[in-house]
Amino acid sequence: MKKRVMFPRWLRLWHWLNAVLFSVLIVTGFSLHFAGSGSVGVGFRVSFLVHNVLGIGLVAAFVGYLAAMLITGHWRQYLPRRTILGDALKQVRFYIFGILRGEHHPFVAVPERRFNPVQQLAYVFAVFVLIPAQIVTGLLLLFPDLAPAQVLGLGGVWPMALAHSLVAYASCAFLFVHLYLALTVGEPHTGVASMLLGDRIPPPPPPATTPKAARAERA
Amino acid sequence: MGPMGTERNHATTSSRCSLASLSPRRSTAALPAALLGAALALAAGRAAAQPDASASLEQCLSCHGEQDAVREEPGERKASVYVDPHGLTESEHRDMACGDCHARSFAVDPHPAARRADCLDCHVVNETRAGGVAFQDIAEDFADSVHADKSPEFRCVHCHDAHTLQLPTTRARIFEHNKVCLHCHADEAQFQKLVDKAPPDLDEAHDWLPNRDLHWQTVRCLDCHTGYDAPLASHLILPKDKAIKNCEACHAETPTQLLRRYRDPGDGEVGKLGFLNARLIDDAYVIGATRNELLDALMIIIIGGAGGGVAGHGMLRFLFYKAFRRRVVHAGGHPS
Ligand code: HEC
Ligand code: HEC
Ligand code: HEC
Ligand code: HEC
Ligand code: HEC
Ligand code: HEC
Ligand code: HEC
Repeated sequence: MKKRVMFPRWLRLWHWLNAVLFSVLIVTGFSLHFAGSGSVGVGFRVSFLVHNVLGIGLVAAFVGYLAAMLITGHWRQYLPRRTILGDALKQVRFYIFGILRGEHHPFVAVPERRFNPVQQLAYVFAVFVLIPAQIVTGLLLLFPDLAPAQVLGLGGVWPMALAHSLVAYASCAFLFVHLYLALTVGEPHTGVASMLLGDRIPPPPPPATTPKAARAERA
Repeated sequence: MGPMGTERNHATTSSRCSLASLSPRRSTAALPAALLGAALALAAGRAAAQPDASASLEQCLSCHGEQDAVREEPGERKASVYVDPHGLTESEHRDMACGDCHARSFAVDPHPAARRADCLDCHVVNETRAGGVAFQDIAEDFADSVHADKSPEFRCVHCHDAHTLQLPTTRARIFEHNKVCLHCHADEAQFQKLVDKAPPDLDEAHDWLPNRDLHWQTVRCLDCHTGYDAPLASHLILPKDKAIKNCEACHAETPTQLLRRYRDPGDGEVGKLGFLNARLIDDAYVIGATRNELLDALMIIIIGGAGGGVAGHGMLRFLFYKAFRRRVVHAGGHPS
């Protein structure tokens, strides 16, 4: 039987594009926010230009992602199962205890369901809350004339600026945890190599009813 | 037209103008010999005007308070000689009568040619008093400025209207101040009264500045075009190649160029709702300058928390990994 691809090419492209955009946006964003402290080393003007261009790039990438997601049915990855809360607890328990004792991952990634329950919750939040919020506040900062002149008696754009910074901090935290998990806790088929190469995996085994059974089968 | 153009209830307010209330201070203005001519005119005006100062104000405004009062100029041109009565009563010169600055001869119609008034006629350069305006610095700065350099006819009154002059305070006034410059630099006719060429293209000169119009609502032309040294309202307008082009002059923790404009800048102070340079946030959020301290504390918690959590977790795993290695290997599992 044909081997199936864990990460389709378009998804890998989007992922690495995001990796670059996020990193540079975070660095230039800090350079703008802490302008003049010489913390980053690129001046305000350069940071401003780069941040704007890449910010628009992020919008384009995100729109493309939404389109691809709808076309390929990839959006289903984000649909939580009814058992999500219990499953997520299991996964959390694994991260806290199981992983220390060298247990196996409680949920095995297959192309139809790449996210484990905790990942799924995190990505739903990142993709449908964090990135859109960052895009909206970012666009308002790019076109500040659209923002009200004054909010609560203070110069108009501050709520956008504060929200934008806050989400940026959250993205930064996300990036740390994501890198840590991807680099040191990666399950087989979801590590860095598979994100680069796509990782071909064998066709699915006959449907297993529980994760436990699935694990037993694979072992 | 200025925002005050609509209200014109001067007849009632004009009675406030009493010369007696002015005399102690004004007496210091009449001394220097260099300004003798002006002083004489002023003294004469005062002496004669004393009994009917307010009447003279009303008399003058009967013509000059009309918005369509004009002076015929060569060609088809007409120059406005309208004086906003409300503007005068709101201005720093609110207690003065027309005759205090304009010689008595203006009482005659049509007016005979008379010497024109100028700020420095009265605000002699050593007038500086505690807390007051440093006219001496202003006069010196102006004398060194690119304007005085390029056009010997340039005087204070080309930028300042004695009839509406107010000391700068709020955002609204900053916009007024930029109008002072634009009134020439965006108006060829005004500009050519002084030099025989077209004004330089402001769009082209400032195309490096993003959101230019937004900047010009909160940033004064003076903030970029004057020297650093003077403490306030520098009048030392420098040649264009010395203008500020450096974003960090304003977009930074210490926005030197922006703080200069306040009498009490409260350098780098944290105020209102935790904003840095809280003086500025009333007018605008200035990226880099009005960061929020509370938010930055939150940053340390969020990012530090994530980094610390991850590091701690890694450390624990490392320790446990050593302890359980044998078991893991035995089970034949993936060690990660
Ligand atoms: C009858 C109407 C009338 C009255 C009253 C009047 N003016 Fe005028 N004023 C004019 C007109 C018209 C002009 C423009 C033509 C000219 O320069 O003579 C003018 C011009 C001026 C100018 C500008 C002169 C210049 O060379 O730029 C000054 C200053 C002036 N008036 C001050 C006064 C003062 C002060 C009073 C009151 C003491 C006064 N005027 C009363 C009609 C009047
Ligand atoms: C504090 C001093 C001061 C007072 C008070 C004052 N003026 Fe003036 N006025 C000036 C100065 C300075 C100029 C500018 C002269 C110039 O352009 O060279 C001027 C110019 C004028 C002009 C000529 C405007 C032009 O565009 O040529 C008129 C008309 C005039 N004043 C009328 C009045 C009237 C009427 C009053 C009273 C309501 C008055 N002024 C009060 C200082 C004063
Ligand atoms: C005829 C004399 C005279 C002329 C001309 C004149 N002023 Fe004044 N000015 C005064 C007097 C007198 C006061 C004080 C008024 C008061 O405090 O009530 C004053 C007050 C001021 C103040 C407030 C000073 C302070 O320390 O609070 C400023 C600023 C000022 N004038 C600027 C100007 C400018 C700019 C011009 C030229 C456009 C000008 N004046 C023309 C007489 C004059
Ligand atoms: C090129 C235009 C220009 C010229 C010429 C000019 N000024 Fe000014 N001046 C301004 C502007 C714009 C401001 C507003 C500054 C601000 O917002 O603080 C100002 C502010 C002032 C102030 C208020 C100062 C303060 O501390 O807030 C005084 C007083 C003053 N000018 C007097 C003068 C005198 C006297 C002269 C002539 C020697 C003069 N100006 C010439 C443009 C000019
Ligand atoms: C953010 C800083 C900034 C502000 C605000 C600003 N300028 Fe400038 N301006 C500059 C710089 C820098 C240059 C020189 C540009 C160059 O030579 O490339 C300049 C150039 C100019 C020139 C010379 C143009 C030429 O080609 O000869 C004029 C006139 C001028 N500005 C007027 C104004 C006026 C009027 C305002 C207010 C409405 C203003 N500027 C506001 C920074 C500023
Ligand atoms: C009364 C008209 C007038 C007003 C008001 C005026 N300017 Fe000018 N400005 C001129 C003239 C005239 C020149 C000289 C142009 C030349 O000879 O190249 C000039 C030149 C300049 C230059 C160019 C200097 C250079 O290196 O070429 C700058 C910058 C400038 N002005 C800034 C300002 C600012 C800022 C203000 C407001 C505070 C202002 N101007 C108000 C008439 C004016
Ligand atoms: C003289 C001071 C000054 C200089 C120089 C300056 N700025 Fe600004 N800038 C401001 C102020 C004040 C605001 C807030 C304007 C407002 O919102 O009314 C601002 C607003 C902005 C904004 C709008 C931000 C937003 O979304 O609200 C951008 C973008 C910006 N500046 C970029 C720059 C860049 C890039 C440079 C250098 C090339 C620069 N500025 C130079 C003072 C300055």
